[in-house]
Amino acid sequence: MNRMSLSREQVLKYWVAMLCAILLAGCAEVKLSSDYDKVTDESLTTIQQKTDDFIETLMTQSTTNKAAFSKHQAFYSDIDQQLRRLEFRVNAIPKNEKTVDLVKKIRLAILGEGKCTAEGTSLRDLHCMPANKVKGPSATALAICRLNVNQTISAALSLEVAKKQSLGQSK
Amino acid sequence: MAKDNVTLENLDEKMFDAAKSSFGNKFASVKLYLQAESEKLAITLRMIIESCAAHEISKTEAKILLNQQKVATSAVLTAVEGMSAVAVQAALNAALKVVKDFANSKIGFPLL
Repeated sequence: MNRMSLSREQVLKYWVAMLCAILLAGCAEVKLSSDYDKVTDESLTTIQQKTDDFIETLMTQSTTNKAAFSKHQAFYSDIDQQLRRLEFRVNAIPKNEKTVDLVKKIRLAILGEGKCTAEGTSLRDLHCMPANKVKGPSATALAICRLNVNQTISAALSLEVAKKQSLGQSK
Repeated sequence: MAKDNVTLENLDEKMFDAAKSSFGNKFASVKLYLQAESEKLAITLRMIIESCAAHEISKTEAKILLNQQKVATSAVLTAVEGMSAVAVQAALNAALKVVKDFANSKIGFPLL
């Protein structure tokens, strides 16, 4: 019994000494992930709103010449610019690998690699594939595409919200 | 709450309790998120299959949408990994805060 309690005390002292040493060495906080970033949150929201509005417009124009890929280049250029700015921002933040990865996936879901074939992964691929180039994708395809895009952006937003909540709790 | 009645004897237990409480709450949120997103993925997959069968979308459109859904699935899993890291970080920091508060209260001034 005595041996047991002595052993427990020794272990406890070891832990306290070790933790105090770690704390005194300046490691009072463990950092596994980047902090919440307001600019990232706002950029993601902007990209989501612009893409959602665009898909909605395209759905109303579907099967008409108004939905032609050539007539919507401004949207793709604008989103490309927004994503480049966001990529620059998230890459500059330390321990932000997951968000960097998520932004890459958002690019893949909206712009893809410009394949315009069945190998594509994006809204743009759906729009620039030969059968849809003139009159746009079908409204059903666009509705499904919107779900995929929103879910991808929402994943990145959810992670930012989790960081924000964690920050609020630690204060 | 964590620094109430913390002694050298129960410090390890208090640290564990703080970490457990912090991680437990966050893990529940991550689980709920994953459940909700999995349901959305299943609904989207069903929509792709049914729309293709009903010829509302072409085969090429269906393939692109499936590829896009793979990207969305991968994004959900990446977000879950990130949220888990945030939860572990919060749990470790909650445990360290118990030690910090304990040490500061024993020393009598905020050294840490």
